[in-house]
Amino acid sequence: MTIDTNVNFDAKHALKQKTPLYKIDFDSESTTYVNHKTDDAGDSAQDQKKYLKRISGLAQKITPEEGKSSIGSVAFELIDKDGDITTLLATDTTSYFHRRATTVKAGYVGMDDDDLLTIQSGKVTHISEKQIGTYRFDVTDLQKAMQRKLFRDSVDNNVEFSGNPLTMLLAWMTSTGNGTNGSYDYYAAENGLGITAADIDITEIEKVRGDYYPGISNYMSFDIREPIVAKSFFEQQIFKVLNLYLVVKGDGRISLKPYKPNLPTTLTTPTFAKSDIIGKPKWSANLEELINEVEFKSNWDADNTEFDLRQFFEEATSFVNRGSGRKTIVIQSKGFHSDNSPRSVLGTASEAIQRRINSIFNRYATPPVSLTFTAYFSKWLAEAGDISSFSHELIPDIVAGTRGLTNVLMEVISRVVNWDKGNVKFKLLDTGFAKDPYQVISPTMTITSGTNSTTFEVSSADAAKYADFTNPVVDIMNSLMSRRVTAKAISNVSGTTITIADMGLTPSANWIVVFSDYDSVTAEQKKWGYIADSSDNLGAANDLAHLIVP
Amino acid sequence: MATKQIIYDSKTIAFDFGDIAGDRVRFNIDNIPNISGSGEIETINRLAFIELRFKAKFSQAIYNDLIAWWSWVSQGNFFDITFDSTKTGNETLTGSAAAGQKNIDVDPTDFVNGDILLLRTDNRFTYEVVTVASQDSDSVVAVDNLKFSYTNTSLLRHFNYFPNLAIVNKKDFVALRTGGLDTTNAYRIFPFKAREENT
Repeated sequence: MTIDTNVNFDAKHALKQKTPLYKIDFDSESTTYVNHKTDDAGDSAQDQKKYLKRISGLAQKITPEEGKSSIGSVAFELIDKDGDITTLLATDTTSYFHRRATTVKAGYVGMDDDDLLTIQSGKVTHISEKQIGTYRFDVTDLQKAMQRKLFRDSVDNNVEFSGNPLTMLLAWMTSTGNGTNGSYDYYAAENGLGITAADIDITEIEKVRGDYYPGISNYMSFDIREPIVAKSFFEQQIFKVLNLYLVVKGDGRISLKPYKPNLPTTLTTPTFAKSDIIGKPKWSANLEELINEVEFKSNWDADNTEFDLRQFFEEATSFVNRGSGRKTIVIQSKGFHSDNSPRSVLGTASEAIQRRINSIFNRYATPPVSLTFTAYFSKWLAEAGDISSFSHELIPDIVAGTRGLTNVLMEVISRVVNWDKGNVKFKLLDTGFAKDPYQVISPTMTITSGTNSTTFEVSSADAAKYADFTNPVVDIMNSLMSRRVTAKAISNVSGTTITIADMGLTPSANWIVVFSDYDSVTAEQKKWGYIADSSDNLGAANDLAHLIVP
Repeated sequence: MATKQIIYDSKTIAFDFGDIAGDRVRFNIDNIPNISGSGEIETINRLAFIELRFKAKFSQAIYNDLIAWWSWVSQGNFFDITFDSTKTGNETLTGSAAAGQKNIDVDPTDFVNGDILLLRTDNRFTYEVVTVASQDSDSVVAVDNLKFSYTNTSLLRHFNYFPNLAIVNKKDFVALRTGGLDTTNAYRIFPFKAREENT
C-alpha cells in the first residue's frame, strides 16, 4: 500500500460502521466543498459548503506485461446552490477553472481536516452540467501530461540518448531546457515534458533504480528520428521492457513500481478474507492468460527502421503440457542492443532480456488463477500493484485438489472504489509468488575514511541504507575481502558518520561493511537475504531460506 | 397563545390542526449495510435527515391560504412548521459539549425551564432529546447528562419546531374535502410531507 494514513484515520477506518466524508479543494479558493463537514469546520478559517452531491472514479488497473496503467481521474458533482458554483467559475477569467489544481480528500465523519487522506491531486479537465443546477467536474492526474510528444525537433535533427533508462526517464519527464527544474533538467526543451520536479517522487524512483536497475545493468541507447507521444514511448520502451509501470500516488506525485514480490522488510501486505468479502468471489483458472512464447526484438536499426535481432523464447515445459498460449507477447526494445558500446556495457542487453523473459514465464507459463470480488469499503486503501494475502474456505485449490485458500499471495491488478455505495471491486492474479518469502540482498557500505576504532565515514547514500536499522551487527572486510572485524554492533548513524562498538583497529578507506553471520545478527536483519546452506536453510536454527527477488 | 403555524416568505398561516395519525417526525438515515460471506456487517452511512409527515385537517379559509403557500414551496422554496408558535428556538452551540455533562454552551434566550429540545451534530447523524433544567447567561443546563459528545457546530432547537423544510417528494396539492361546499362543519385534509434541509 502506498497511502500513508494516521492514527485518527485508522481508528475510524477500522470501525464496522463508517460515514465517509469527502472534501474538494480547488487551489487558491477559500471555500471547500464537502458532503459532511469536518469536526474542526467551526474553528477553521476555510469555509466548508455541503454542496458535494456524489463522487466517483479512481479506478486503478494495471497490465504489467504491457507496462500500462490506467490514467486515474475522479469525477464529482456539486450542486449550484444560490448560483455559487456558476459565480465561482466566472471568477477565473483566465481559464474558467480549466486545469485548476484540485485536491480530493477522503476520511470519515468525526475527523479533523488534517486527518483526511488525499486520494487524488490533479487538474480539472472536464466541466459539464449533468442536470440543471448540478455541475460535474473531472480531475485527472499527471499522467495526462504524458500525452504530449517528446523529441519534438527530431525529424530535422536526430537525437541520441544512452545510459541508465530510469535516469533518462527522469530527465525526459523534467527537462525544460532551462536547467531550473531539479537535478535532472539537462535535456533540451524539445526533449522534455517539463513536468514540475516536485510533482514526481524522484526519491522513490531513484530507489527503484538503485534496488532493481542499478548502474549499467539495463543500459539502453536510443537513436530518435521522429516525435513520439511520451506515454506510449515510456510504456513500450521503458516500462514494458523493464517490467515496470507508472503509478500516481495519493498526493498526486508520479512514481514507478516494479513488478516484484512483497518483501517482509517493506510494506504491510493487504489481506482479504471471507470476513470482508461481500458474497462469493468468482474464481477462474484464467487459461486465456497462458503465455509460454515471447518474441523479443532488439538492435533497432534507425537507418532502415527495422529490428536487426529477433529472438523467440519458449517455455518448453509449459508448451509441452499446455500447447501454445492464446497470445505471444512481443517486446520491441529500441534501447537494447546486444553489441552496445562502450565495451563496458557489451552483453548487458542480453542478460537483461533473459531476466525479462524469465519474469514473464515465471508468471504466465502456468496461467495465473484470477479472482474477482466485491469487498468492504475498509479495503479501499489496497491499490493496484499491491501483493495481497488471500484466504477463503470455498475457493478451489486445484493444485492440492481441495477447497480452501489460506494466505495465498496474489497481485491486485484492478481496484474500483464505489465511493457512493461504500464498496470496492477487486481483481487479483495468482502471481506465483506464493512459494516462499522473497528478499533482497542485505545492504553494504563502503568506508570512505576511518576516524578511530569506533568511528568511520561512508557516503550519504550508504549511510541511508543503515539509518533505519536498530543496532545492526556487522562484519568489516578489507579491500581484499578478508574479514577484519567480526560481529560488532553499530550504535549510531549520523549523517555520514557511523559509530560502532570498539573494533580494536581503525578501518581504512574502501573497506566494506556487511551484515554479520546469520546467527549473529538481530531479528530485524534476519529478514534480509542471506546465502543458505546446502539444505536451503539459514543459520544454526535452520530457518527457512529466502528466494532472492528476480 | 400558542398556535400551530406554517411560516413562509415572511408570511404566517396559523391554524389549529390536529392530525389524523399523530404528529410524525421521522429520523431517517440513508445507509448501505454490506454483509460478508461470513455474516459480518459493514455499514456505510451516507446521509441523515428529518422528515415530517402528518395529515392535517383545516377549514376552507385556511385551505385558501395554503394554495398561496403551495405556489411558493412547490418551486423548491423553504418554509418552517411549528407545533407551538411560542417555541421556535434554533441555535448553534457556542462551545463543545461532552458526553456525561449537563452544560450546553449556547445562547439561552429562547429556551426556558421544561422546554423539550433536540440536540444534534451538524451532520445530523448523532442526536438526542434534552429537557431544560435551568439556564446560565451563556448556556443551557440539561436535566440529564448528555449521552453523546457534540462540537461547537452542533445544533439545538425546540423539538417541535422544524425550520428549513422543503417539499421534495410530492408534486401536487390536493386537500380532500368532507361534505359539500356549504356544509358548516366540513373540513379539508392534506397529507403534509416535507424534509428538513441539512445546511
